[in-house]
Amino acid sequence: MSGRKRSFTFGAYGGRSDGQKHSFPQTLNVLLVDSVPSHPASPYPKNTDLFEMIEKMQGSRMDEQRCSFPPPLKTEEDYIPYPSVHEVLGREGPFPLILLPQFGGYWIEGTNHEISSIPETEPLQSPTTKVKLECNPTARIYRKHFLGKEHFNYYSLDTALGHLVFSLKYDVIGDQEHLRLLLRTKCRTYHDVIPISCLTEFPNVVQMAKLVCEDVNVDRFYPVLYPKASRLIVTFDEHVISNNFKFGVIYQKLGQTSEEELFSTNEESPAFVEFLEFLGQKVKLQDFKGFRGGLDVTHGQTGTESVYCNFRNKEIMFHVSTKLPYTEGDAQQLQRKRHIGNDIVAVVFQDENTPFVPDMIASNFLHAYVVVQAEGGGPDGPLYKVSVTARDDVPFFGPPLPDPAVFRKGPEFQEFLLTKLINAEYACYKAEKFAKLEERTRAALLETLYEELHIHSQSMMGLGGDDDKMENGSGGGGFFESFKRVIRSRSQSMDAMGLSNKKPNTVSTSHSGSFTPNNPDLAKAAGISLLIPGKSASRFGRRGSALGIGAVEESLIVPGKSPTRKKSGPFGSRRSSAIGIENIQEVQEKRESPPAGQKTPDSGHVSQEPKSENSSTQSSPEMPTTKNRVESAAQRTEVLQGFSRSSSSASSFTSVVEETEGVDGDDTGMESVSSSGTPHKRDSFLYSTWLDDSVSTTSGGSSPGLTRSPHPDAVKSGDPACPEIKIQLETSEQHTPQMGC
Amino acid sequence: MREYKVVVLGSGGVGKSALTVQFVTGTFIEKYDPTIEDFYRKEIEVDSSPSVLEILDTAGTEQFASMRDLYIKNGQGFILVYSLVNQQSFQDIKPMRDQIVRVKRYEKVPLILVGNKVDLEPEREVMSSEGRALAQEWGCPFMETSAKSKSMVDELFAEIVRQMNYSSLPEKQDQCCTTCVVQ
Repeated sequence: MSGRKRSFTFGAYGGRSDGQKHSFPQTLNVLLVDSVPSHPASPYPKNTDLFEMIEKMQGSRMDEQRCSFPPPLKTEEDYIPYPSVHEVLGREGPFPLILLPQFGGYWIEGTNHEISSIPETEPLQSPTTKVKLECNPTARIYRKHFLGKEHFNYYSLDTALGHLVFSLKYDVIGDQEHLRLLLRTKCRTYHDVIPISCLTEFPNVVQMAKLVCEDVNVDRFYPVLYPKASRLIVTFDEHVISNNFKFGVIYQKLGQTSEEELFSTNEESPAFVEFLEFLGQKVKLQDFKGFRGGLDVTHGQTGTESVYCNFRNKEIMFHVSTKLPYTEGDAQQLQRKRHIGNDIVAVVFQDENTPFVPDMIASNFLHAYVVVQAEGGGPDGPLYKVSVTARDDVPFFGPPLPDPAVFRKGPEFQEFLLTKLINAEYACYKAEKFAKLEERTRAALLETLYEELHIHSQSMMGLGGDDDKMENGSGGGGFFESFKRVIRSRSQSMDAMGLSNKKPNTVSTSHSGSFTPNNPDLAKAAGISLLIPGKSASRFGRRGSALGIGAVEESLIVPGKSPTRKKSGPFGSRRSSAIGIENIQEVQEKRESPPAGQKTPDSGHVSQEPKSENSSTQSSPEMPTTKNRVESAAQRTEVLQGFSRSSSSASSFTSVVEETEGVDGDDTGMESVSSSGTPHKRDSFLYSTWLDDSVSTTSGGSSPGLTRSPHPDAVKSGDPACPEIKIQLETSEQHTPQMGC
Repeated sequence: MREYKVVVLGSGGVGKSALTVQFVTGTFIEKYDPTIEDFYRKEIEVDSSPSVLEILDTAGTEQFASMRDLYIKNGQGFILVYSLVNQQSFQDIKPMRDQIVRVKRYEKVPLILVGNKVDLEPEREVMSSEGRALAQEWGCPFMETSAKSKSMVDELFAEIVRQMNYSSLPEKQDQCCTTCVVQ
């Protein structure tokens, strides 16, 4: 029995990733033979790093013996412990759904459940409450905007920020040119979309990185030359995404105040059965094909059935205390607690009025509880009172409970409850224990990504083993097709040259990793690699050829400068042919656009972009027009939400757009574009955008200082944005720890 | 003094923490308090040679797949624990070894298969022969322990040190073999 590995979005990726990993040691060993000092001689130093990091993080845990000390006393109030549950039960009811532990450590939401305060005819749930599922849009940006499209990837090592992986893309949104920038550091990922018109001069790669993160302090970035790089990068970005959740469901009967009592309950009341049916569908565990959440689906070791739900493309497996195996004579009921105790979020269902205290269940995992208490509702169906509690370091999560916190059974409450549970899990990942784990995991994964990109890029330039070249050399069409692909690719690499201060150092002979298996551009790699053996005959020859290309490029832009031929020989005829083709393309471009953009070398490089884009389009004519339109609409939606204005209509539109973004977050890697607002409204919004850009340009700033009106939903306002980030198009950048099964 | 990095793996509730704490402090933790991640350090003398064990006690849930890969990548020796009173925990242990081999890219990683809770013999669900057969298939030692009665606990951690010592000796040969494969 082997569960699916959830590090990857698709099963097929897993196999490919394994293949990639297998190729790693060969390259590493060859590099070691070549005495490359930049790589560690053995994995042991990393062992020391990780273990020392853990040791520092946990301090002298051994001395504590993991006994649960009360939390540190922060305020005067904490010196007086809260009453124990037994003291409270000794008084006269009714009792709250949740009591704080005697030494605190938790917060509570939803303390008013007075139903009589509402007239019977009014809806119990406030219509203004928005049931919004949190999402992590930053983790999906690469797949949405870069993967399979023409873009560039770079890597570098910053003394303060650590390993950096940088993706950039020229984007036309509407009829305006933008740079889309995505920079990954060990702490977080920065994303920005910058109008080119706001820049006084076209920036190089280092300057672009500073636009999204001013703290970047490196001399240069190195281009990623590995055809499979995009797959590695998207795997890293999405390691925090999971569409599988497991939640505990604990049944608390009247008078039960200890976990031993909670886990020893076998009978289910009719109200609890009704609640379980409302929560999800009952499934047989034997041969169950969905997300099993650690339950046994082959040998029947964890009971015969459970409750399961698929909610907005997210699979939820519930661990129901009464359905897990009961062991006679086991006070702790280990067979039940080993599942529920390893959940992070749990639902507590109460038939009657006995308070739940969150420290009843000893677990390092359980951080949040949603307590639901049944109330006889009469002919209209049952009513449910709801309270929520979580550890102090768990941030608040929505949707907020109405006041009073009473719901009538129905699809609206189900949607509310499931959303609350999923958002609770996301919020718990920000608690100290889990945030530390994710921080360390992210740093390690980014370092691994950096090293893989570095090794493969070196190998592609002939600085490593021959295996990759042999592999890439296989296949390929006829000579003419290969030649055309080479010319097209060279044009793109010229674009790369234009983006760097030191052109000779960044010349590349292959596209920077925007290939996908279904993309016809994949053939470019084969075509390019056909020439690599010849070019790698001598390093001097390669450099000469590169310099020659650069010189030709410059002469085309600056007519006054005479072309310089660095080297003559067998490559002479090819260079002449290339020049000829470039001239033809140049003439075509001049016809298309007037020569207004030819004033400076930088603007000349900018003018190269349209040609490259056209070339890319021509290389895949079979792409359906509808897809292009859909993508364009998606991009428009993407940029519109960032330019919110203070006017009420614009704010309202922005809110709608953000909801659209929220919906997109639910997709499992598939893009969906939903229309929001009327075309007229959108046009007027674009108009205000232009006006704002004009103002920014007038101010002469090298980058616009746009500000977004605060979003009314307090949940989405996470950490305050860094002042260095000029444009924040994403409403929330949350890092959810990775999940698997 | 040599340092060894040991990772304790197994599904929830099999006694990973109880075994580790029993070894480190000599006390038994009766209360089950699911672990996220704990780190212990203890000096030990194995075959007249002093050593320091750094023991990483891990979570029994597969909630964080990347996390486990990271543990495996940075660990040197691995203790795979199942409970002999829980058949599912024995089934769960097999993919963990597969994961170790995949991450380490090596089949002879220092490893011990452990069936814990031998003090609950009347409730046994996993026969000793099953554990022994699996260990034989993997080519690693097999032990049945009890954290509660401290049965075979010190022997377990001494054995993992021997496994790591034994594995480090032919390291160069393995590198040569790897080089040959590359060529």
